[in-house]
Amino acid sequence: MQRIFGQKKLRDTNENKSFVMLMLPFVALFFLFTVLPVVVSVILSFFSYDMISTPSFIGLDNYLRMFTEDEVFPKALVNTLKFAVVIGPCGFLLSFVLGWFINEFSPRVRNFLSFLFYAPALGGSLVLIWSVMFSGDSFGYLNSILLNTGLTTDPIVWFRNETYNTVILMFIHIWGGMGVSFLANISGLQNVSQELYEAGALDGIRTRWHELWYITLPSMKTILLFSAVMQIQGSFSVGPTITQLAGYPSVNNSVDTLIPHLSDVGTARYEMGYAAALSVFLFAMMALSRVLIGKVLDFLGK
Amino acid sequence: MKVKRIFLLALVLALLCSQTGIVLAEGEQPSAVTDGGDAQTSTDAGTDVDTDTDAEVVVSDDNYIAYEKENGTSAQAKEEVLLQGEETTFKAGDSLEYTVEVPADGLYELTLEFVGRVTANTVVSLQIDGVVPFAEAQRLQFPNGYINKEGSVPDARGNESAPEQILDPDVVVRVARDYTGISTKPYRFALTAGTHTIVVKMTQGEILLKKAAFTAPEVAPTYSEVMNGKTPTFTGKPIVLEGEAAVKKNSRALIPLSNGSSTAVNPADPVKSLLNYIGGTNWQSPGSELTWDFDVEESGYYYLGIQYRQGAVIGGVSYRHLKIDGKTPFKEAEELKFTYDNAWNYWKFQDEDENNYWFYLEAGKHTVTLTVNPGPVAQVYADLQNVVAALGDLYVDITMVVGETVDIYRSYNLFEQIPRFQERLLESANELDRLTDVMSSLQGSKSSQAATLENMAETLRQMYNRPYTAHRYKGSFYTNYTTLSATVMALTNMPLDVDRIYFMGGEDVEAEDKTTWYGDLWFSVRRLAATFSADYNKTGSDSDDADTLVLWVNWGRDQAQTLDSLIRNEFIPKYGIDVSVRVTNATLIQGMLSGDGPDMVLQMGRTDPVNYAMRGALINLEKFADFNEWTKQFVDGACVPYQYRDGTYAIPDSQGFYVQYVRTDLFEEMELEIPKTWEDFVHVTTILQRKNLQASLPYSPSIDGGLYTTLLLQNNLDLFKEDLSGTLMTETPQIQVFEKWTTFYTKYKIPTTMDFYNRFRIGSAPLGVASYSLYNQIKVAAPELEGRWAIAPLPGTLQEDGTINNKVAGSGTACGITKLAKANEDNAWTFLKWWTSANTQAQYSSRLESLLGAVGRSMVANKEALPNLGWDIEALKVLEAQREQIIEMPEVPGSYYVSRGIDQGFWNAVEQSANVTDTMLKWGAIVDREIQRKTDEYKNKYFDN
Repeated sequence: MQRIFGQKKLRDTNENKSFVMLMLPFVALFFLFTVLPVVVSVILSFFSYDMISTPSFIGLDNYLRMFTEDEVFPKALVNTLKFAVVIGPCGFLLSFVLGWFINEFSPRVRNFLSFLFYAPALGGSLVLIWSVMFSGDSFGYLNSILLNTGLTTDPIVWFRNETYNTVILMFIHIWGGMGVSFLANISGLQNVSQELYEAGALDGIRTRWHELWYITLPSMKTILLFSAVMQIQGSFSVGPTITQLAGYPSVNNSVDTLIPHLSDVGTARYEMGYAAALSVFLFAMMALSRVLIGKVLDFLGK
Repeated sequence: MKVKRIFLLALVLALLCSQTGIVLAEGEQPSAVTDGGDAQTSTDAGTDVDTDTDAEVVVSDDNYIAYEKENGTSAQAKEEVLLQGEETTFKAGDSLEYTVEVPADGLYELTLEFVGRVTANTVVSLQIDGVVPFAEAQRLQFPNGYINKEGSVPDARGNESAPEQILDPDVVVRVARDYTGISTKPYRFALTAGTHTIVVKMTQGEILLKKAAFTAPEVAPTYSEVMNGKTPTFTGKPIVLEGEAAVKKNSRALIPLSNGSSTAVNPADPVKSLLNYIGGTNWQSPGSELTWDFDVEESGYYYLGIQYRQGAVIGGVSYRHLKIDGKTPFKEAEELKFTYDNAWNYWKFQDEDENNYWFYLEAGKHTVTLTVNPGPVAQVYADLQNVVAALGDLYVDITMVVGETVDIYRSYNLFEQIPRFQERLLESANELDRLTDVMSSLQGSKSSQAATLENMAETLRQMYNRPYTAHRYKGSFYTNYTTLSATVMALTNMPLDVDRIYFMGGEDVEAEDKTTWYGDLWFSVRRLAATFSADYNKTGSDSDDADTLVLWVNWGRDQAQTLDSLIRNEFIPKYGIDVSVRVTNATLIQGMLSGDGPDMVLQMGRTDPVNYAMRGALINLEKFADFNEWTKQFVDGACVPYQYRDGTYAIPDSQGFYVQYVRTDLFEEMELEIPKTWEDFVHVTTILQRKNLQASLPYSPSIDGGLYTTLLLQNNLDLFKEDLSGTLMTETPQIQVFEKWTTFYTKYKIPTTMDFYNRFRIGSAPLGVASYSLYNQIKVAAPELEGRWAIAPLPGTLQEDGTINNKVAGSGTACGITKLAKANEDNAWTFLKWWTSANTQAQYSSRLESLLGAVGRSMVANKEALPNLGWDIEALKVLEAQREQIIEMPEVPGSYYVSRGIDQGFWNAVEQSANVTDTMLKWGAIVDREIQRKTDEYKNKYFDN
């Protein structure tokens, strides 16, 4: 955007009129529904606002409260980071390795396997499947298997138990979130020019690991960045599925993340100002992670 | 290979993890040793319940089918035996006794002629010489007559809505018959010549009885007997009856309906919704009846044609019994057959060789009646019911041996433990096979219903063939059983849509209703065009007049339309205040934010009124002069949850509470008594568990309606401090009650989640606590349980003075006025009063029930509305008694945290075996902090509403 509207290009506007016109619908919508809300929530985070009475300015109180008073916030922050650290990189690595692996098959098998692994992303009924699988009564699949094999005597209410819920939810998210970046990885792998491999072989590459490190990864840098950003950023905003499965608040806030916390503050407590402050914090955290991912991937290519 | 090894390693690890987890869980949880000591002592308390006066009446164990078999050979009676010829008011609780002289042995039908007084249908029990001849005779139904109410107004867009169904002011004649579908004919009572004592006792309803008699059964001649060789021809003009114009019905549900998607229906309109047919799934249960009026100008022979559709039951056949002027014209008219087709079709009453059946009609007024008749399906249905009952008994027997969850590695030797185990399996399997064949031949092809029977039979065979491992099939037995019983329920459903009825002379009117492809196309185009202009979210008037009250509802379409039609037909004409109903998903908050919100809100959730009130969004209703007078119609303290500071911001429009559900048949068998206290409840639970059965206690952390609050109330404890500045959750007595509550789930192992309805039905959970709304569901959807279950007041807590405290925490919704209505607040208050009045609530509920079936019955908050909803007298007694015990809990700013605290405490104690006192102290403090914070936040905010 800097380049289009920047000083340098301004005089070229006439020549680039058609491009500007083409971009306009998107830019307008993007501004209206993405930029504007972000700006509004930054402003709102300095107010106390219950959605009915007029907002009143309270300075940094919301931010102070976040770090000093709110008991759920530290737990939610830790949980969010926990989920982000596990789901993001795990999902990313897994989807790359799987993509690499599947890419070796013949096209027909590859297409079939790709579909199989992409299916979770298509099925919107993530919650439904897993709530049946981990249902707390004796008719839930897992409980039923455990009871039938005699491993347990009573059904376990999986999502109401701190010992199990984090692991189960991480697994569900990795499984469900892999689809998109997995597809991106496969198409990235297919776009690596075969000539490079041939040239590499002539230049002395001996193993597949060498090939991966010196040819495949550097050629896929943009795709990797995309897939990593999708995975890791996505993992910061996990929440709705958790709330549906484990409820909000979960047992001793063990799996509550920032998103459910802020939506709870906004809708159940009617504290929009504070909810805005929390979302600004989350936004900052995600922006920071974006920078970090870029750095790591830069290193990867060298 | 490597991959495989890693995979195996992971699997082993996973198994290890789960196992260690389990060991931990077992170590921490208290074992399931039953506390028999103190439980046993308390069961003796209060053994003799209200003993009924007619306890010595003998009720036959036979059902009607068995009775009919026994007596079916007797001759049919020829003469009528009059029981009552004078007019008398007869209402629930009354008994009429007659001594009559029967002239000759024979089979008689019981006929009543009466005028309905209340919307509840009449149910009576019949004793002949002190004996109820068969089980169904304890509950003989005599449905009221209904007619359309005149003067139904289309809405502002010309859309018609169904007129209200009101009681027929004329005398209706009803013969005692079966309404479930096991028999096609009225009940026939075998009477011997001589003097008999007949007692008719009414258990539900109120009527003005004109006449009661034992009548001679109708004998219809065959068609050939009627015609006697004549070959009729006639060239009179055809007579056309519109289906929706049916004048008399025997159910409130039989309302005119609207179909706007086809040109085949008359009248058809692509834009407006017009009432153009009748029937559908409202007209499917056996015995349900419609009557049309018509004039014949020219005497002569006519034949019958019907423009119909039967698309609701795939592959099913619907049967109807035709009567003209209340009489069956000839035998063939008893079973008109309509086959499945999802399109509108033209049907003619013809014999197998496509010759028309002719009726001779004199010039003048006539009526034509069509009654749902299960036809040949009745026999299948009756037989299947027996199979279902037998399988239910078998399941309970299996459960008593193996328990709720099966250990598949154990040898249970079911064939040794259960009497005639293998014979019973085989008998049921063979019977199911036979019935599958019968059904297939009736329906012409194998329907999905037949497949259900086959699956059940397959499971039974597997169990039969593998006697040593039969217990492994218990799970599939259960799933097949629930599907099978649902199928059986639906078997006698015979829906039929009727657009038009024709009585034709010479010319056939078939062509008149023929549709053309270009006609259909043009119709579809106009329909599509209409979707761009018609606003389906608004049902009321369009006017943006400032005086029009705006009402937002986010209900289903049926509920919203019912409300809208009530408003247009009752409220607006009476008060002259315009109300516009809008169906929206938006919340009140969003409406307030945009400044374009509603003036009134109905059915607000429990926490909403206080939340809105403290932010100044609602109006204090106490300022209206008649507020105190009006709220006397609710249970004492019903407004408590809607009070904030000195005001009341909403009034209740629904109120629910728990009652106890008991399978009396199983209780009798095990010689158990219905629990009166929680100690009894636990005692019964342990006995049930010894037989591998379960009791159900629903888990809910809510303050309103939750069991924890109920237990607090029964121990005379409060949840909130008197000044509402915080909770008392951390006090010792409160924690003790909390602990008592959690022991139900830990020590006594009652499951926290359970599909109570199905488990109650099959019998593996013969005792449970649930909302009283479940009553209607069981009543309607589980007819095989008739007379085998009951509701009872909630178990109570024994007080020091020996009395039992039965208090229960209420739950429910409320309605209020928003600050946007300030200029019109008096009108809005008038509307709220109208909406919460006993009459409106009862009307709304009964209309909804006619649309949605039993689930439509609402849990009215108005005390006077409850008896008018059609409850059984026995159930009503229990409900009214329990309702007297309701205590409503207050709502305070931040009280949403209380249920969270309860939830956390509960799961920590139940699932993680945490120390209850520690958890409650921790969460109680967090809850109090939140309440304090919210109270402080709004301490200085006052609104002049």
